[in-house]
Amino acid sequence: MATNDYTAILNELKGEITNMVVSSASAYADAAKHDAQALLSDMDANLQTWTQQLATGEISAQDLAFLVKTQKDLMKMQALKQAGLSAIAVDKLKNDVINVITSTIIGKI
Amino acid sequence: MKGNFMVANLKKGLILSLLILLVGCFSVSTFDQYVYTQTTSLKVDALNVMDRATTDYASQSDVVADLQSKLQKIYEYERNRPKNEISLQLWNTLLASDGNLLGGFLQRWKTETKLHATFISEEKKLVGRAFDEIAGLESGKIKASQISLSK
Repeated sequence: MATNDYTAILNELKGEITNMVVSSASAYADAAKHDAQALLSDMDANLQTWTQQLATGEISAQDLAFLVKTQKDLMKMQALKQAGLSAIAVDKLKNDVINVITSTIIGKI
Repeated sequence: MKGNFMVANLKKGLILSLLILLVGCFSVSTFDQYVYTQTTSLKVDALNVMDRATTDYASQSDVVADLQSKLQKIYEYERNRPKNEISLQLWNTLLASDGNLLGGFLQRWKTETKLHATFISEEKKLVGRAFDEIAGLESGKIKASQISLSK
C-alpha cells in the first residue's frame, strides 16, 4: 500500500471519527440533561405531596424525614447510573471507532 | 520492494494491536440478560413484600427472609462480574440497611414492627425507581454481539 493511500485513509478516518465523537457526545448530553430535569421535577412534586400528607396526618414527621433521605439515596443512584452510562457511551464510541477502522482499512489493504 | 512489504506488514500489525488494545480497554461490563431479568423480577417481589409492612413484621419474617436470600444471590453474581463496580455501588445503595431505600425500609419495618400505608405507598415509588436505575444501567450496556472483534 502506497503512502498516499494511507494519507487518504487517515483523512477519511479522521472525518468519520470526528463526526462520531461529536454526535455521540451530543446525544449523551441531551439524555443526561433530560434525566436531570425529570429528577428535579419529580423531587419537587414529591416534596409537595409529602408536605401535604404531613399536614393532614397521613404520614408522620419521621416518615417525612425517611422519605426525604430515600429521595437523596435515589438521587445518588441516578448520579451513579449517569456515570455508568457516560462510561458506556465512551466504550460504544471506541467500539464504533474500531468498526470504522476495520471496515475502512481491511477493505483497502 | 522488500522494504515496502515489511512496512505494510508493520502497519497492519500496528493497526491490529491498536484494535485489540481498544477492545481490552472497555471500562464497563457487557450486558447480561440474567441480571436484567432478575432485577426486574426482584423489583416486583420487593414491592409486593413492602405492601405487607402494614402487618406485624414477625408474621412476615419468612417472606422477608426469602426476598433477602434472592437479593443476596443477585448481589453475589454482580459482585463477581469483572468491571462491574458501578452496578455494585447501585446495589449497595439499594440494599444498605443503614440507608433509606429497600434495605433501610426493611430495617425500619423490623424495628417499628408496622408501618403506615401512605408511607409504604410513597416509599414504594422511590424503591421501584431505584430498581429501574439498576435495570436502566444494565440495558444501556454494550451487548457482546455488538463488540467489533467478536463478530
